Amino acid sequence: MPISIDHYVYLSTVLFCIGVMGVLLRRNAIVLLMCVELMLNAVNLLMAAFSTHFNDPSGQVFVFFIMVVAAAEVAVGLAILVMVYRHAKSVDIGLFNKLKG
Amino acid sequence: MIEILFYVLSFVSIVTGLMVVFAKSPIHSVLSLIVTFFAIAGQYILLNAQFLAIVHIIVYAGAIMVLFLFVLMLLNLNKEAEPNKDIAMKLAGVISASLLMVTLTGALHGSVVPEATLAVNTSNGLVKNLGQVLFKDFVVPFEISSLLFLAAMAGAVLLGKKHPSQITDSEIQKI
Amino acid sequence: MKALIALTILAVLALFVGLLKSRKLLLPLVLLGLAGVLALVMQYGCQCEGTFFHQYLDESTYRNMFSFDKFAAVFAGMMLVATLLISMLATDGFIYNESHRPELFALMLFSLCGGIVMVGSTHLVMLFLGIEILSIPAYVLAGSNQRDSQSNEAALKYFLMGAFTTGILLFGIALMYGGSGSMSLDGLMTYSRHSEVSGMFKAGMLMVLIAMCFKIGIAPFHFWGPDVYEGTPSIITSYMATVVKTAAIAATFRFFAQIIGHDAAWMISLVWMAALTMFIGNLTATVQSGFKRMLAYSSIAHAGYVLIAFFTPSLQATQSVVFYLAAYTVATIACFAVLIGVQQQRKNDLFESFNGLAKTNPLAAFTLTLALLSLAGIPPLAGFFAKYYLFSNGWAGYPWLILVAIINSAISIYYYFRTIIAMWFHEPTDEPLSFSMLQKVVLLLTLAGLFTLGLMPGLLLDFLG
Repeated sequence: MPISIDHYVYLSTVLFCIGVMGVLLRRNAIVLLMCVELMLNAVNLLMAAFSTHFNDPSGQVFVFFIMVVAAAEVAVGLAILVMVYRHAKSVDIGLFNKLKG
Repeated sequence: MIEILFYVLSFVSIVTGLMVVFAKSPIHSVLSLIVTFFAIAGQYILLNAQFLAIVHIIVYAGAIMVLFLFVLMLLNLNKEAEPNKDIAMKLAGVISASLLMVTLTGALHGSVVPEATLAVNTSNGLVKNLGQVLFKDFVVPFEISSLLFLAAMAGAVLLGKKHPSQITDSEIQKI
Repeated sequence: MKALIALTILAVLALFVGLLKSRKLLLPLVLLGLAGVLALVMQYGCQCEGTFFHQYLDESTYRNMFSFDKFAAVFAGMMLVATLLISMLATDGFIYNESHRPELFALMLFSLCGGIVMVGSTHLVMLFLGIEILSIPAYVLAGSNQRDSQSNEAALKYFLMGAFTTGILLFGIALMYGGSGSMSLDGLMTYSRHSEVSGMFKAGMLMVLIAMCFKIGIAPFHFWGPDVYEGTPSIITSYMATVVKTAAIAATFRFFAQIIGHDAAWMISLVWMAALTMFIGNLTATVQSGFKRMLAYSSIAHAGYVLIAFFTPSLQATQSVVFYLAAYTVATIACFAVLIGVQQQRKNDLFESFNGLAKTNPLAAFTLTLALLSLAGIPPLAGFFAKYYLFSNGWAGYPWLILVAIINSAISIYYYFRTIIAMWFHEPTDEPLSFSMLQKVVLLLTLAGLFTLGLMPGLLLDFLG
């Protein structure tokens, strides 16, 4: 591997934190979900980098499982969003405060 | 050459990642995210994980992002209607995320990654090799993930179905 | 593994029954099927040897992926019993959504499969898949009352929280893999005991632990819990408070006890989290005006008690986790059985709705009283013995934490008694509630469970070795 593993660790940490920042900042539930996807992609990149570093394909196979789960999660999540939108006519999470914490 | 490519791809993915977060319109977020995904696919090719790169493009850019776009169009959310959070909240979000980043990079800086114990094998990322691993070592999780899809499918259909209360009375009498 | 396959087939069958004109088959099918799977698990559990955890490198672990050892069998049995009881309540609890009933049962069974995968997982891939199979149907179930905006909101909150948690969990797993070069529990154990543990591994372990604390609802990661529990239809809440919680605690226990259970440096922060969880759960529960929200906070507090067993890893600690969760599950299901009856007819869950229940519905009032007393830890009920066993085992680790736990048990008596007083000493304001036959059976069964576990704890403990 021509590029040292550290570079990949830093890159995916930065991407992961951008995703976390999006989750903390945004109020639009769809954008929030996209930021979660960004976090998962950072993980995928890190896994693939470690897999190449260790010469061990199981890291790459794990990435497939993450993709599987991400797809299933997005399908269910968007279904929930559409259901919520039908009632509230909005996907702004700031408006959902009927249940007081 | 490879180093330059790495830095270009990293730069692109970080900038477009930030655009996902800060774009006003959700559509712009989706488009930036797609660019991010392509940049990450480029990284996979640099990492000698060719099959992964293809699957990544197919699944993320091809399926997941299309789903996002579809929902955005369906609900007609392509407007910059998001009310601004107050500055204090925004600042808190940015600061806590930056703190997390500093802490994480600090923790990871200089930590030792064990050396590879397996021999270098440049064909690790090819379908043949991955298939061997997936259907030998990982066959149980593979089967189990079918359960996940079945459950997600049933769940999405359940939520998507129109509720009986939305059916008119005359229709109910027919039933 | 056989149990898992049988359960999946049962869930698919339940989906197909939805296609039939007559839905009468559904409930008997689900109940019989669950009982059958339970028998399978019990029979397997009796064959297992004394130790809870298998040695991992043998053929029965499916290439180090999944080990259905005694630990897994016990927790799988517990979750099956809980689901069985909850399905019996579901006769009327699902009535708001009659046409979706088969799908709801199927999703619950899928989710249960995920729970079983979790408690038996010996590999991070399986842990991750188990968590997702447990959670994804649970998101849908939380929103299953589509007309109710509270249920919608609960589903959205639960889902966003869960998706965010998944991200954290995965980043943790990736770092653990990077630090140790292995993803199987076996490899991680070897790494964490024999070599200088790198910062990367520690950071990864920390993130995995945080994600699990989100799932269990340990303070300060508990804030989503009460909102979600309140908005979700009660029948699903009872499932979330028992099965989902049990699975998450059991999986955390397996990984925690084996990877970092020997390392005192990890304990300190968790000890503080346990104390914080107990205080937040119990103190907030005292100021609630609704029974369901009070139960939500009390379930957070109980998760805090269970953490005590994490600090003294031993055979007894494992036994006490099992026993405590069994007592908690039985009592919680009894509470929800009565709550579902009250909510159906009074349309709210305020404490006033329980007024005079002792005169109008003696059986329900008696069961609820004993369940609450058991949760508070009053002898001779199951909860008392569970707490006693847990605390006496934990004394060796952190005595001050046990004192905190005892103080908290005393606080909890206050809010549990509010309902009891409302039931026994206030005049009834409404007509009597009507409970269906199956709901009464559940009440009787939980009552029997509370007494059996309390008076004859040896039955379960002998089984545990």
